[in-house]
Amino acid sequence: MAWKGEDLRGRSFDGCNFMGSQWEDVNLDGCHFRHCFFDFSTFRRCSLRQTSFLFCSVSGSKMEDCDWTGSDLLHVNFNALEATQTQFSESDLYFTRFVGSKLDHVAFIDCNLKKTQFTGSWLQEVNFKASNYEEAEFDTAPEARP
Amino acid sequence: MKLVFHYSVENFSNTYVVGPDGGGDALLIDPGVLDVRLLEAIESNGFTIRWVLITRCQPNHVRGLRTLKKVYDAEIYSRQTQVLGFECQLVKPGTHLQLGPFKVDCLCYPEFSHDTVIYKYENWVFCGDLISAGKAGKTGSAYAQANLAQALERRFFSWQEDLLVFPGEGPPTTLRSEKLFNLVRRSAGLEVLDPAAPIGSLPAMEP
Repeated sequence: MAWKGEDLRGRSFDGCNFMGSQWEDVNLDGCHFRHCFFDFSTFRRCSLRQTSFLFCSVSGSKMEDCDWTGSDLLHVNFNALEATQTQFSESDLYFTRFVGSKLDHVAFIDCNLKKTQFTGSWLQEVNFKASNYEEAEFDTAPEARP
Repeated sequence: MKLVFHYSVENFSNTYVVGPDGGGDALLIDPGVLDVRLLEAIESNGFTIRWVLITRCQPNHVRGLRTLKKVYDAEIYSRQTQVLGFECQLVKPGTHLQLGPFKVDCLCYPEFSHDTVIYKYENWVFCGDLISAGKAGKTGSAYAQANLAQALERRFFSWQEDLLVFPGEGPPTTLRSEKLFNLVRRSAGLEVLDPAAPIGSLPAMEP
């Protein structure tokens, strides 16, 4: 599945399988995703502002130059995410997981990171300014992912 | 078939209901809480809870059982003969349950706890506390954790990759993701598959 340059603003998706999909220059602002699977997908230059991802799995995905500003990302599985130049600012990431992720120049400014898990992750130039990271997990990664 | 998912804020736990598309007899996994929202979700889908499957006999998995039994006359399956005073059908290792239209495989993991059982229905796995996305369940010691890692390697990660995994806590995951990224495998230095390998077709999860 591949989407390029599409405007999908405000749509709702429930229980959908998007595994292995490609999203390039897609506008997903205001979309609602619930119980969807996006494992091993690729997002490039996508706008996901004020989206709602509830109990979704985005494990093993790659993300480049995406904007998730102002989104509700509760209980999302972002494990093993490889993200660069991506914004999660002003988002609610309660109990979301970035276990084993590689985050390079990613911004979590003014976010709710309560109980968010970064266990085993590799973080470079990641900005957590003004965020609530009470009970978040930042266990040191045993090795940095290449 | 349809899968209904319910998250309890009080318990930090997930409850799942599986039932036919047009309504009918349904099974419920881990009644941690039976609140108004869950009840509305059950009723709006036309479900009647006939069977309750318990992955672990801990309060956050069973606290809602008393309320549930007041509403539904359901059979309870667990690794104990009694839960909260209710008689249960005892699940033994390797049991295959035929519950109406549902054929459910039951697998026990005494390496994790004596009362843990996970349930597999078609390509959905309800694993309770055994696995949560990216991590294995917590045990009491490094030795027990190593035992659990070995047990998972032999009897969980060896399954087919197209399974969708629904833990008792936290977001869903897939067996493929867990084989590649679960910390218990990475920390054990186990060989992982090529994440760039093509993914087979996976059936959608019904809302």
